Amino acid sequence: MDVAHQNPASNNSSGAPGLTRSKELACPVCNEKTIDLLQLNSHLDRAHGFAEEPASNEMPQENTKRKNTSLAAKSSKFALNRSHWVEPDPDYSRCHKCYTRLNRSTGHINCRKCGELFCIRHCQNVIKLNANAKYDPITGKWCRCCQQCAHDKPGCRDFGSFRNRTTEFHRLRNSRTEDRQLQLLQLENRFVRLMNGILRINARHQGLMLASFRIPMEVAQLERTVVPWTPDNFATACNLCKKHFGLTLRKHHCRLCGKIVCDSAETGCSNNIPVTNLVNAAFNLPITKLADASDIETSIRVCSSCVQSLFKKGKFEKEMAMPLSMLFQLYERMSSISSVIISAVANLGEAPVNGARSNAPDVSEVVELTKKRRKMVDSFSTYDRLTKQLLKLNPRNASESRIQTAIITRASSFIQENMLPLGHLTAKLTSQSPSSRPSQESFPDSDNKNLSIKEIKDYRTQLMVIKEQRFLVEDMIATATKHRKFDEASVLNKNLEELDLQLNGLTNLLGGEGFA
Amino acid sequence: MLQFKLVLLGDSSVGKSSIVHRFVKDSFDEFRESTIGAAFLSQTLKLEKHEDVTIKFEIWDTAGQERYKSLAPMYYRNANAALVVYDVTQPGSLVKAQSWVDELKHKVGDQDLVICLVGNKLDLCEDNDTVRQVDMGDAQIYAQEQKLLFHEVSAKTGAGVAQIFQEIGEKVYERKATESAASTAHQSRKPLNVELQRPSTNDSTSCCV
Repeated sequence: MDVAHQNPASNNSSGAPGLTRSKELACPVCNEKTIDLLQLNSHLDRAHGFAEEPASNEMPQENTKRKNTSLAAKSSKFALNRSHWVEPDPDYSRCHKCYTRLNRSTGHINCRKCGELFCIRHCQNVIKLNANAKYDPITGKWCRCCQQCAHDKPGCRDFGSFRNRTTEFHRLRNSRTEDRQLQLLQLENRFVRLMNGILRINARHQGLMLASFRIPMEVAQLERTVVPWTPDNFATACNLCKKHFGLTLRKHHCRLCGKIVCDSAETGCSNNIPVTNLVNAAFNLPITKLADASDIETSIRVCSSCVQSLFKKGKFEKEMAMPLSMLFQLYERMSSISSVIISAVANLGEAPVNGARSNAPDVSEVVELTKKRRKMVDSFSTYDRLTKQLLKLNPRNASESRIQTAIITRASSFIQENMLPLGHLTAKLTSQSPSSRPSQESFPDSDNKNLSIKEIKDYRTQLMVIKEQRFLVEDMIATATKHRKFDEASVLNKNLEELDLQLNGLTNLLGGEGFA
Repeated sequence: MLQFKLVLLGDSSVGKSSIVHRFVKDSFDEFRESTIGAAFLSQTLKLEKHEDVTIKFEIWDTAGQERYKSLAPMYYRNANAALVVYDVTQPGSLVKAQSWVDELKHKVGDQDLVICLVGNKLDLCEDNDTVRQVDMGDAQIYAQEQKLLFHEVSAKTGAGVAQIFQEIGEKVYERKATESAASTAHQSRKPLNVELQRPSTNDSTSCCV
């Protein structure tokens, strides 16, 4: 505190000399004579409470004001600058925070810091200020202030230093997901090997006399080679449901992960699943199907977690590939058309401005507007038709019928909202150009630099092809990285760069004629 | 391991993808869908002539449809070998193949590129020769004129497919060998080959799968 106190004092001594020398070291406030600079300083500090302010030209004013304020009466040493205070006006003054009219009951108080008027409730914070109403946490005096100023004080709501952990998090998450993918890949490999082996064994023994005896034996041998089983004495409880094994609950090995699980019917930790079912479920895995896999009776024990991780993805993909119900198909089409309409309406918003600027009806403009109008009318009629189709559908259950009514309500309000600009447009067209409207139907191609239409078409196809290819290559890269084929991925990455280069070249070539 | 870029060109539905799949996966799909854009596959190959030499083909299987023609230059540029495929039952496909050969010679330059002319779908004309529309002799004479390798194969039965790649492999390897011999004579330091590829991961006894 001492050090901080000295600093302003030395500031004063450096700022004051010119002033004090000319008045021969008279105090600028009360004209008391002092011997030297040091004495003047201490006099100022003591008698006038200006521990740090060298701006002496303001002080006389300050002093006169101080005489008729109650605050100064309480603390004779401290005079707060009030020049920034807002004068209270009984008719108009409102609390700066809650905007209630300020009167005797609400009270009116100036925030000492910002000077705004507040009601009593919103000026309850205290803060240390110096005489010039600046923050001064060390030598300042406690003053009333509003919430905002209390919060704005430097250091009041500091959050401290922070570290950005995003990249670290990303890295961790990536490694996590990669681990999981690796595990899945491992599981898939085992599964494919097991299935192929079983199918082969069955094919070999087909029609033989001892088949029903030999097949289970060979399958059991094969199972052991696919994954090392956990020794029986390693587990006293089921790996999944944690129930303890006993006389009634026996140990079983999952043929895919080798872990020990129970086979209780209620938890379903493991199940004996027929091979044919497994093969059918794993339609996305490369299992070489032999002639007739349908009459294979072998079944293998698989734990529920392996089943989950093996088939979840395939099932999800299958469901995604299934066609949507009619209701949602219609809704998708409706929403795409509605987005078209919205963008068209937004475009129309600019058109009237153009028209207002040039009073004389411009032919090309009119043609343009007509085109837009026709387009919009078309999309509205499509939208309407879709709504009617949707209305005719018979909902399959209660929730579908609720969705249906919601969509129809939304659709009618949408049409009402967006039809209005169309009406304006029609009015505008009829008023603007009664004569010159259909004079020319063919529009000259605006500004296609030096490209002929055929060239543009060609380039556009090329662009499309390259974009397609880019997408494909990206996909290939993802698959290659997933299967840890990094050398392939690097080749593909190189190709991706080439594609990007070509893509840029074509886009530049097409310029404005590219796809919107 | 030496890597070579190989590109397949030819009319649509002559069996480019089938040849590649026969070579890479040794499988054949009767109802293969037509390729979109260009597909990428890679396969390693042990050379018979040179012992313990393994090379790797980076194969770009381009789509034959006219729409994707603009993609082809990107893939035959910098290629070490090109397989120009035609269908022995479609005379039009040989004409198309010849135009591909012309384009390759024109754009790439002969000395850098091993071109192989391949007649596919040999299995169709094994039983009755009336199906065959392109005479083997004609194609062979054309190939000799243009100094191309020439094979007739069947992707369905797999006849002759391995030989194409074997021959191309030897050819590109020899070119590379003479080239590198010239360069090693020029600068005596030999480039170090670091094996970056992981070994096959299907072994359950290995710790990392």
